[in-house]
Amino acid sequence: MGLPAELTGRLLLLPALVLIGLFVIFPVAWGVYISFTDMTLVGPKAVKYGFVMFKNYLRLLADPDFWNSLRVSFLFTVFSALIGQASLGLALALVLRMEGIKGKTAVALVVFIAWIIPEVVAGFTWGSFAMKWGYLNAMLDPIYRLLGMKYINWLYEKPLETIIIANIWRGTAFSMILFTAALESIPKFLYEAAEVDGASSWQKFRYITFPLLSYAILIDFILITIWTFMVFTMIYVMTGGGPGTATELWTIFVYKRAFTPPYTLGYAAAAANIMFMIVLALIVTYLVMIRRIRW
Amino acid sequence: MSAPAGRIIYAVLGLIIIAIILSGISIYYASVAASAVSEVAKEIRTLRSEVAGLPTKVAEAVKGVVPPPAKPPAPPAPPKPKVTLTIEYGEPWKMWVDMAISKFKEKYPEVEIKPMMIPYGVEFSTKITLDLKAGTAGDIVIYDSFMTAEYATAGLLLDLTDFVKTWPDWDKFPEPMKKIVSFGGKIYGVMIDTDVRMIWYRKDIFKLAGLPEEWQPKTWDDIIKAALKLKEAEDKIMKALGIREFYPIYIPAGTIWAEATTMQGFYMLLLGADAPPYNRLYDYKTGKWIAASPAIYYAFKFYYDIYVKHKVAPVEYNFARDVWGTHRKAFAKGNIAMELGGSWEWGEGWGPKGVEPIPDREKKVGFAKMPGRTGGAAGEPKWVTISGGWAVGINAKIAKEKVKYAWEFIKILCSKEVLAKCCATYGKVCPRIDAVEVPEYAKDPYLVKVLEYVKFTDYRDALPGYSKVSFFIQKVTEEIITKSITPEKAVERFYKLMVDEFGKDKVEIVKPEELAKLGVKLE
Repeated sequence: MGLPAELTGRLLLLPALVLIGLFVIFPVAWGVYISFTDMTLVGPKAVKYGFVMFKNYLRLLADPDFWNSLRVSFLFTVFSALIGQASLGLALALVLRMEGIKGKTAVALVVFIAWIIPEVVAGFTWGSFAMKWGYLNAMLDPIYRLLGMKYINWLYEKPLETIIIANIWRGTAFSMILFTAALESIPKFLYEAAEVDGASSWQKFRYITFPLLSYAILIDFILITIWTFMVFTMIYVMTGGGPGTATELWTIFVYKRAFTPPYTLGYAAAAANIMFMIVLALIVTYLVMIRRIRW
Repeated sequence: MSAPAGRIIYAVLGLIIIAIILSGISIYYASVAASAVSEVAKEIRTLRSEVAGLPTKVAEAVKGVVPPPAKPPAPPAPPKPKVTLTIEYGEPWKMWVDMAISKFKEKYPEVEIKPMMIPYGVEFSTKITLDLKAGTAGDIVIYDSFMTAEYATAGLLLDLTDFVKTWPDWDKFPEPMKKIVSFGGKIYGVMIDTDVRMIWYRKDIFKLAGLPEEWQPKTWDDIIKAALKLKEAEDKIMKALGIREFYPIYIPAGTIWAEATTMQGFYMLLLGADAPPYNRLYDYKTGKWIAASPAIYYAFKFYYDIYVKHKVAPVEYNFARDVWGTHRKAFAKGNIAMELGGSWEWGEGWGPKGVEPIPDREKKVGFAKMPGRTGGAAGEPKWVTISGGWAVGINAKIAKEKVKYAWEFIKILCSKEVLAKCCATYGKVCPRIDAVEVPEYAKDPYLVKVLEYVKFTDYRDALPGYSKVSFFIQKVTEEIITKSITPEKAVERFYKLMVDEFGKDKVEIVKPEELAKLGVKLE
């Protein structure tokens, strides 16, 4: 009797597997395939391409722009997601939990809006906000005048810092929601007991909130790491990866190699595959850490 | 260890096979379904006409009278062979397309035309390339003519050779205009506008700096001297115009400008940097790309001089999100006193209908010919300009029954009247030589003056692979202005990029001894 049940189970899984195969596994396999070719988007090699084996990968490893894009993506993820979004999200969640603070719903709403507006809109908004003659400098104008400074072109002089701040602004809502939910699950009596024992608010945070939140924090880290590594639209709209390659995330690196001159699809696919492996390794590390925490 | 790993491999392989089979099946059914849908639609239409007739029949039956001699039933209107043509174009060519559509509708009412306009702010050429490749482009596309070879070799454009042969108007396009849209002896498009390039300058700002309002530099040194003089008068100029930043000169550089860096900037220098044929990127005799030459050195050196050595050019304008909008605004406001740019700016940029209209344009805006490096003393051309422009072509994926209409549309779009009137409105150079017969075009003194440039114009080496070469140029200019690399290093860098891409046997070095004397170390 065991076999038919197993068979039914497999049959029921089939539709989902087919969809995954069609939309996930096939594109991945295709990406691996073209990374071994010299396929281009246009020109003769778009039709007649040949196999170049590992040439794309070897060239990538020797390409300073690729290493730069890894560095930019790494800094971007660490500072905007792991440090910025997670800590700000946690702080906001803690504030939202406090009683007797007026206007906290309004703050939550503003944070939330940043998260739900389309990426392209967010990109253009930040682009015009931070540009040389944008609102940011207009607001800072009195300070500039006071110090006798020239306007700072944020997107040109501090591009990486600007996109990191923009991404913190955009993505904090998720961490905030996740931590709010996690905080709700911490029983109140633990705090009451601690108060009776005379614990300070720092001690309550350190010995109750933080340990009980650590699982949520790890989940948050996994998700925002993946998302932030995949960010493309907002930054592309804001800076296009520039000036030079100062904000060229690996996603922008791949896009530029594939869809703008020199249109090297194979090369871009190789870069995407390497990044896939790196993100996979990161996620596996996180998962291992989660296991450690549970057992 | 091996058993689960083996199982996973089998599972993945199995899934891939299933995926391929299923996608095949679904594509098949999708195509069957498409035709089935049209069948059903037909049936519904006949049913509808029958149903429409029912009430009268019922009424007659209820009346119970002998129906009057039956009127011949109104023949159900034969479903007209409605053909829908889509046309994809960038906003600058809206007038061309609108005019052609209204004329085309009069002639072919049975064809519906759907315009797909790409608005300003989008990289037109990138969008069109991706759409063509993804199969989502319009039936007719207006594309940047320098992509002809790349599109043609990728099989993205329809071969129009047989069509143009039977088209009497084809001979009204001068030879260079035919060459731009052909590759391998075949024709893939028809030019709808063309251009020349020159130095734009602000007469009012030149006057403030004590420079002549009618200005024509004879050598590159003259340009740099003027820039330095403008720099000296910086404070006076900023005060007079009420602006907070000022740069004497601007030449597009870097990858955000994309092809414009190569055309407006680099080629305008390269062509005047040495005697032909050493002033190109391609050696037509040997069929190799030129990866290093004194001309390339001097072109990079000019970038170095204005951006790094004298600091008279705005590095950051090259990294604005909308470089086009930025340069037009900056020139209109007076943040830039002179720049290398295209002939279209007179109308599209600063004309009354332009993006950044300049009041009193005739008094404030002047233009001068770009001189050769030493004004021809070293055998290089005395004056330099280069032409490109946009062309109309047919998407290779167009349905067969639509090709006829698409070509008819192109004929109307490229007729003397449409091209001449539209080019005249936007101050663009018309690719048809009979444009001067159209009064709107002939009465424009600017266009007549610019026609002089067409006499000495040149064309880029847009062979397959050109977009890569062009990209390397953009990259190297970017490194010059952001990393301040010297012209020698710039040539070495360009050479390395070219060798890595094409292989050492497919590129050549022009005048290696002279390069060595200039301090360029290759290998």
